[in-house]
Amino acid sequence: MCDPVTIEIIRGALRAIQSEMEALIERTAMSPFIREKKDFYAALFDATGQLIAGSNLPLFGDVVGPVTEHYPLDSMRAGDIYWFNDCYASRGAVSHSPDQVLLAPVFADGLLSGFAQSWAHFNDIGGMRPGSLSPDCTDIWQEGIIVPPVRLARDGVVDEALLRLFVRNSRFPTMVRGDMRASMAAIRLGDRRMVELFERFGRGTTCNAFQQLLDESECETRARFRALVPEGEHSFTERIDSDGHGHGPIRLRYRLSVTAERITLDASASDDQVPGPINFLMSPTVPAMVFGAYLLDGSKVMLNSGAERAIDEVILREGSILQPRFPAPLGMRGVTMMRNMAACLGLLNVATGGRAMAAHSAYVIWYMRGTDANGRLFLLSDGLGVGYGARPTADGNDAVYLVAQENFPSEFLDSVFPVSVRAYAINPDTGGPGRWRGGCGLVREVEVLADEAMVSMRIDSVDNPPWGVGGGKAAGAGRCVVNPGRSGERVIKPLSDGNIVRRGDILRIETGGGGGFGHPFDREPERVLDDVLNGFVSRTSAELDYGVVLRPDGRAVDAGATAQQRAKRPLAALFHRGSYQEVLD
Amino acid sequence: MERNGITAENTRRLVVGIDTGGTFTDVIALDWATGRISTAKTPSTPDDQSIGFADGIEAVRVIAGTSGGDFARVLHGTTVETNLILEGKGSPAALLTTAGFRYVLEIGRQEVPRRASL
Repeated sequence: MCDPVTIEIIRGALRAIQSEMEALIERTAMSPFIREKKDFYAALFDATGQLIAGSNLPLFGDVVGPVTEHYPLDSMRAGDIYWFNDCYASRGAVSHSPDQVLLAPVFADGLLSGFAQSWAHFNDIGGMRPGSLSPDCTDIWQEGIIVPPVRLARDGVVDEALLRLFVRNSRFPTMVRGDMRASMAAIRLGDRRMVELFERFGRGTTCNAFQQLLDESECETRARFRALVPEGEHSFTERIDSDGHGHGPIRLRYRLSVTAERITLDASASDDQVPGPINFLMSPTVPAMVFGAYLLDGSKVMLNSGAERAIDEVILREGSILQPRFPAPLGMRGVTMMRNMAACLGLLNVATGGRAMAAHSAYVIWYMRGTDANGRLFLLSDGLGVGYGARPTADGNDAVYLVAQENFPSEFLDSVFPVSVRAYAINPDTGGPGRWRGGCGLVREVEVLADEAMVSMRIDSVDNPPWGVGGGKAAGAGRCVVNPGRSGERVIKPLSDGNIVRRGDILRIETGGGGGFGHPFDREPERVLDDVLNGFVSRTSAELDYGVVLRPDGRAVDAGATAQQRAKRPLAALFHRGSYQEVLD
Repeated sequence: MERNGITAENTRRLVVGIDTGGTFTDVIALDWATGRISTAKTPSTPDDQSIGFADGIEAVRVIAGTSGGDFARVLHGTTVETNLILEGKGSPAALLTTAGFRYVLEIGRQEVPRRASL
């Protein structure tokens, strides 16, 4: 039995190991996707494959299980590395092919005692288009090479032939080789640090600490869930605009049943899988991790497999958008993953009469490929922040991507790719109006300096903007325009590929915001004024949405006119998307 | 064997940490040879922070009973800038940037910290 003091030391040590592994990946990886955008995570597991310490991204599933189907636990040895990116074989533990999972078994006292894992998005693994992911893909074969669970290293010796085979399939072999080395180095480090942990506290005590950290996470998530969500049936429907191939809107239909004994989430009524690549092969553990990430806010408790156990059952239907059949394309599943998060928040709002947070936009990603001045292939993959939902106690976050991921700084884009960044700014009026304002999206405007290039775009929540809650209004949507306000102005479809741009073209991408929380007429006029002065909210919106009238010079609130305007307070409902509605469909 | 810059041959054995706060300057000295820790607290001197810094160093030297020649390293931290920002007492400042980049401070790297929740 591990005592409470030692548990705290082990908790800190696990976080330190994870951070050290992540720092190593960040500093040694070669592709901008990992190095700058930071699309990577590290995680630690116990001997049975339970996640002990991982990322706060509700996306993953059982990582160890798929490996043991080919390599039983008793065949594993110290110095081994296992590797896969096979979404279907791993039942969604990986949910699109560019994500490479590497796993090292950790031994103490000669016994298998845990696993160290790295996970990173590789910038190109072959497939239809540079970057491997494309809205045009209609099956998973087009999304790059598929690696089933394989043994990449045995007794510390790397299988160079396997590595060579993989690297040969990439358009950017040097980067892929470098990224593989960074990932391998990270789990070697994780292995070593975990061994040190077992040596310091003893195998028995450390394993017991893992058990207690799992139990603690389960108990805390369950207790907080029970405190927030009353018994009964709660339903919510969320919408995805389109699959990029003419199908949409696509609905996620969730029903949460809470009884004294059991918590069940039934998502089987969600729409069928679609031909376009927005299918999300969702591990059944994901919704519980969304609830866990939301509920464990402000707690020292780790988001791990314990939280997954807090939901007793998740029902998914094979052939649906959340459980597509092989070989449906999955590359753009980020859209659906983000709507899954919003649907879970929607359920909490329905269950509590609007006490959770409002919905967010799906982060935007666009690719530009072509040849640079030296005749070399270039691949620009730029992730753009969006606005997140307003909270019961605070405004939503402006212009953020997703947990831990970062942008390409403008200086980096200018110096590495044939583009010139003309603007990188807040997109005003995209934050949903509310007592607490939703976060604003942003504007990225670039001039194309290559002779010709092909652009793929991924923006969702354009036709169905993120909803507001408790009187808060929906967010503003994103869009992409070529040559705005000039001759040859044209709109690029939100989920599309094959868009040709030429030297001198201006590409303007605007991203959407998050929904508002609470009635906007309850927002302090001074806050609205601040938002107007800082360019987050327009004067028109201040007047129409917030009922706040400014003096003619726009520098101060006109109290009398505001009182008059606010006397005509619109009647609100639980949700808002286009108009106030008690139930969204 | 090297240990934080202290070598066996090195006779300088004192590591000093000094923190210049808004009101007080806190000083701690660790003697590697004996493991003994000495602390001192002296007033900060906002008009010229270097005076309070020197006072603090001198105070801890006396308490530790060593000479200035024993100092192996001095680590200095301060909350002076933090206080300036929190209290809004700094000089008016402006951000100069090219057109289109007014929001560079708000957006930053557009990230949510790795260990943050949703």
